[in-house]
This record gives sequence, C-alpha cells and structure tokens, in this order.
Amino acid sequence: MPQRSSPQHRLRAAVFAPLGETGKVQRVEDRIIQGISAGVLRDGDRLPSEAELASSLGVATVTAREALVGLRSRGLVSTKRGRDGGTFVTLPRGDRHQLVRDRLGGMSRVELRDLAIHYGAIASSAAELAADFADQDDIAALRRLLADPPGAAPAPAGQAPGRVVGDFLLELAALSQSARLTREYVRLHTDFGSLLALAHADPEFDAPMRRLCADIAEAVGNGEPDAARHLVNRYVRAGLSRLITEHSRLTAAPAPSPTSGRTT
Amino acid sequence: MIQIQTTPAERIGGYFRAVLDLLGEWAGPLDALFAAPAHRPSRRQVDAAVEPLAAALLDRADLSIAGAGFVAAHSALTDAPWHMAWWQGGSKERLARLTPQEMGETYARREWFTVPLESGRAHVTGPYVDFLCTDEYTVTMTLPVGGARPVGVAGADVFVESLEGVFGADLAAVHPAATLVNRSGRVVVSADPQLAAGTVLAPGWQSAAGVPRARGELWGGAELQAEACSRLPLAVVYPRV
Repeated sequence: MPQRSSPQHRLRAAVFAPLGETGKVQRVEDRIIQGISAGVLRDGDRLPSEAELASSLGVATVTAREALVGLRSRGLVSTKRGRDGGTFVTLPRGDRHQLVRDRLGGMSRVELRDLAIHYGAIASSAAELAADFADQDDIAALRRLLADPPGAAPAPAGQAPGRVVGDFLLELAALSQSARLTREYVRLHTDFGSLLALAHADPEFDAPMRRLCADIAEAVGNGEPDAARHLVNRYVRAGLSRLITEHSRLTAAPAPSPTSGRTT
Repeated sequence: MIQIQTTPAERIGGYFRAVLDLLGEWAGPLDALFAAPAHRPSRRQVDAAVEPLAAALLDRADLSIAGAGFVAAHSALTDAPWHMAWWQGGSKERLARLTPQEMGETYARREWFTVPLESGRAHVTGPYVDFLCTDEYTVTMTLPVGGARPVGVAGADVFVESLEGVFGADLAAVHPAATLVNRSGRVVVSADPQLAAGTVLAPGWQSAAGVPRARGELWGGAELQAEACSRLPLAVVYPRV
C-alpha cells in the first residue's frame, strides 16, 4: 500500500495509468468472440478487412492480423480469397452457446457478480432517466419491440435468445438522452448481455422477462422513474441468479468416483 | 445562404432550412441515378454519386454537420436490400457496419427514415441518442428522394452540442428562456441554461385547442407563447407574460 493513497491520489494515478499496450491481440480476439457469443456477429457475416479492423479498434494492422490468425485457428472465422473473398464468421449452429459457457466457466463468481452490478447500474439509471424523458412516440416504439412478430417462435431462427430483451433495453438506454450512458450500455451488453443469452435460451426465463419488459415500458410511459429502475434491477438480479446456477454447474468438481452412484 | 427572415422563429428555422435546401440540391444527381426503374443502380454507383455531395456538406464549417449521406429505401438498389451511403466527421469517414442486413432492419423503422418517406416532406428528428451512426446526441435532418416513387432519404446529422453555439444568442434575443422545441415539444436548445436538451417541455404546442402550457413543474406550468418555424416541425416557445 503506497503511503499516499488519498482518493485524490488514486484519481491522479488513474489519469496516468498505463493504456495497456500488452495483450492487445487477446483483447481484439475477445471482442470478436463477444460479438459472436452475443449474436451480433452471425454465421457467415463478413468481418472488416485487417486494415479496417485495425483502424476501427485503434490497434496496429499487425495486431489485427494476429488476432484473426488466432480466431482462424479456433475455427471461429475462415478466410476466402478472390473477388468475393474476405474473413467470415464460421459458427455451426449451437456452438455459440458453448462459446458462452466456456467464457462463463472461466469467470469467478466475484467477477460475474461485479459485471452484473455494473450492467444493472447502467441499465437501471438509464431506465430511471427514460421515465423522465420519454414521450408517447418513444413508448409506442418500445412496445413495438416487445410485440411478437406474427407466427414467430420466442426466438426466430438465427436470432440469439434474449435479443428482444437486449434490443428493448438498448432502446430504453437511448431514451435516457445520454450518449455516454448509451455507449456504456452497448459496451456492457456485448459483455454481460452475451452471458444473459444463456439464461434466455430457456423459455421459462425468457417469457416472464419479456413480460417484465412490458411492465418497464408501462412504468416509463407513466413517468415513474423509481418503478422503472426497480424493475430493471429485478431483471438483472433474476438473470444473475440463473447465471450463478449455471456457473456452479459448469465449475462443479466431478463426482468423487464413478461408482459413487450419485443420483440426479 | 440564409435568407432574410421576419420573425426570430424564422431566423432560427433558417439553419435547418439551409441544410435541407442543400440536401434538396442532391435531387439532380440522385434522380438521374434512379431515372430508369428497370435499371436500378448498384451500391457502388450510389456511393460514387453521394460521396462528393456528402463531402461538400461536411466541408461547410458554418453548418457544423457531423455526418451526411443517402439511405436507400427497401429494394431501391440492384445489389442490396438496404444501403447507407453515409460519411461522417472532418475526415469524412465512411460509415461501415458489420451486418448491413441487420442495419437495414433497424433503420427501416427510425423516425428520420420513415417520416419523410411517408409524408413526402422534409423532417427534423431529435434530439436523440443516435446509437446507429454517430453514437452521439444528435439532430437529423432528412428529405425524401425520388418524388412520387421514393427511393430513399437524403440526410445530415448535427450534434446537439453544436447547436448550442449556433442558436444560443438568437434565442436569448427573443426571450431569456426562449427554447427551440421539436414536434413533440422536446427541447433542442434553450436560452434557459437550466433546461436540459431532451426535456419534454411543450407537448401539444402544435394542437389548435387552447394555449399550450409547460409540462409539469417546468417554468411553474406557465402558459406558453409558441412560434412555429414554417415548413418545419419546430417551434420557438417561451413563457407568456
């Protein structure tokens, strides 16, 4: 512990903290993997070129290239040459969930809870502000997002589970009228939201959560900021609880002996 | 460019009309591109036609434009169901997203796209957080392209923060609390420094029934004087004395 660790000192240290030159390749890979797990990048989607990727992520071209090599070796992207060539997402159906489970299993419960707290703080603050700022057109747009497309199953083919709730909360975040909150929500959504998709894959979770979103729209429409905040927090807690159960299952030590006859 | 206006509301609306007039000048090159319904243009042809037009608009330092371009209506092009030929910022960076399909599905229901196509008239959307394009708090001006057979919208974005500088003095000259509101009565810019952009201040200012009032506790619920900016879904409002 440094001798001078006043809050002011801590804030000053944050200004001059390293920008993180190391591990950039890994971070680029993680970003793309998060995009795939969140269902933002779908099977067959073309990725930007190395140069575009480097420029949009703010890394060197060689870093982007190395990241693509890593993704290719994991079978998550493939590269085609020629006129219609490029790098494409390759994701056999179902694999997205495995990708997310791997990520969840690799996290600690502390990290998972902390992520949920951050996500909940942003999403619920946005909801609170939205209740102050939304007009009738905004509420109508929110409700349209929740209306099932005619004849569609809970999650239409090729669409990530939880997409409806995720899109709803993104629109809600934008209604806060805060560009910063909205950007932060988008960032967290590819992070925590991709984990939540695991919970949404179960219709027994997804259906009541969609109803909860309808209640959120109602609270926002009635101009009830406290209720809107409370309902969003309830969603995040329910999602976190599901993820912790799944996390425990994934990280459970194998049964002591195959002959112990543990019943399930 | 900005014509002589009679009222303060007209003078303030002049900014938006100047941008929309410039977008209106795109009709020549764009109509030519879509002249033959049997030969719809490709993305590449549209991009080539729009890029210099957008670049010229972005170069107008007096207008503080953050982004500009053309957004195609569904199936207006030959090689893609949806397309945005849009450039942003001083470096005129091309707006590129990973999944144009999803992008189209998303922009197809945005106010800045649907209203001009359905009404056939110029529209001003916002302020709103534009998480599709600028990632900033934005006002978008759009104009339908293609007359009776609309093929898309031409548009330009301006950041709400830039408008503070553009209108601040003009508004204060009208009334110390004069406020520019959009069609829903939402604040775009106000001379009242305590009144945040985005606040719904004057819902119903367009309604003919009765005198509009400030919403809730804003300005003590005062009756409002509302002066519409002609041809635009905008008004300057301030408390009646």
